[in-house]
Amino acid sequence: MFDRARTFLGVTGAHGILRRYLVVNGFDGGLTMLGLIVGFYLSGTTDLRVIIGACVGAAVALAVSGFSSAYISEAAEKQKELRELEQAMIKDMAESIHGRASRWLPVLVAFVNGMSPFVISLVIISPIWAAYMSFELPLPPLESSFLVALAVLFMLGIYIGTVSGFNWFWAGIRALIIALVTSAIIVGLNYL
Amino acid sequence: MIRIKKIVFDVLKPHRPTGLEFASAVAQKCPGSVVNLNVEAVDQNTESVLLRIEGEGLDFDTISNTILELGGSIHSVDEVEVVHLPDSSATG
Repeated sequence: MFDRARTFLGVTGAHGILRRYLVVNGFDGGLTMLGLIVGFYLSGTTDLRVIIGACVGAAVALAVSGFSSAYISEAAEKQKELRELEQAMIKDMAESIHGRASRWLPVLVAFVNGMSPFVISLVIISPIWAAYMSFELPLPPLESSFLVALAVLFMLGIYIGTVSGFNWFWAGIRALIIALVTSAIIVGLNYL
Repeated sequence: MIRIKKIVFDVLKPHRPTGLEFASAVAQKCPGSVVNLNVEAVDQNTESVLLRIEGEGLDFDTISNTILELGGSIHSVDEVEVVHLPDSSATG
């Protein structure tokens, strides 16, 4: 299974695409949860069931949106690439490794694009869920989730920095600044 | 019994898999073989290569199917070397 995935990724050179989708939609998921948490905090909502329901609903919507949009765009892109290759090779390549990769890769890319915001969202709201299940937390649930969101976005920044060869620490700080600016905008809008 | 000891294919292949990956995949299907790949010409999406496989008892169908599966197209078989081994039953 993993060998096949590695082969298909090698043939299509799709490592970069997977990485991009993982980071872009993961960042989307992280910032969406951060926005929801700040919004709930400012509105004074204390009903954890409502907060969890809204966050999980948003996470599922992000997952479905990520899966379907990536599948549609990648399937079209891979079909186009296969047609161009078939024209160059002057033969049908449906049964070659390229043909199989063009059918299989959009599913893999869509899965990554759908699961990354979903998993990141679940990680961020885990303190709220823990508080709902009566686990003791050192901080109130919304504040805990806010800190987890900042930590997750910082880690995503570090990952981007590692991939690009950029200084990992500054890449993490840059992601953190984006998260804090987002929170500041939401707080600012609350006072309008 | 006729056995193929060496065979040279003129193959048109996409840039991916790379020459190393392509030759390795063929070698993996022919245990004990030596595979040599020479790039003859490079185009925008494709490259023409000479694929030389040497070994004891090569299987033509296995090799050609592997080439096709890797997206290659066999243009011609440029060289072959076969050996006639006497049947063991006849010698014994």
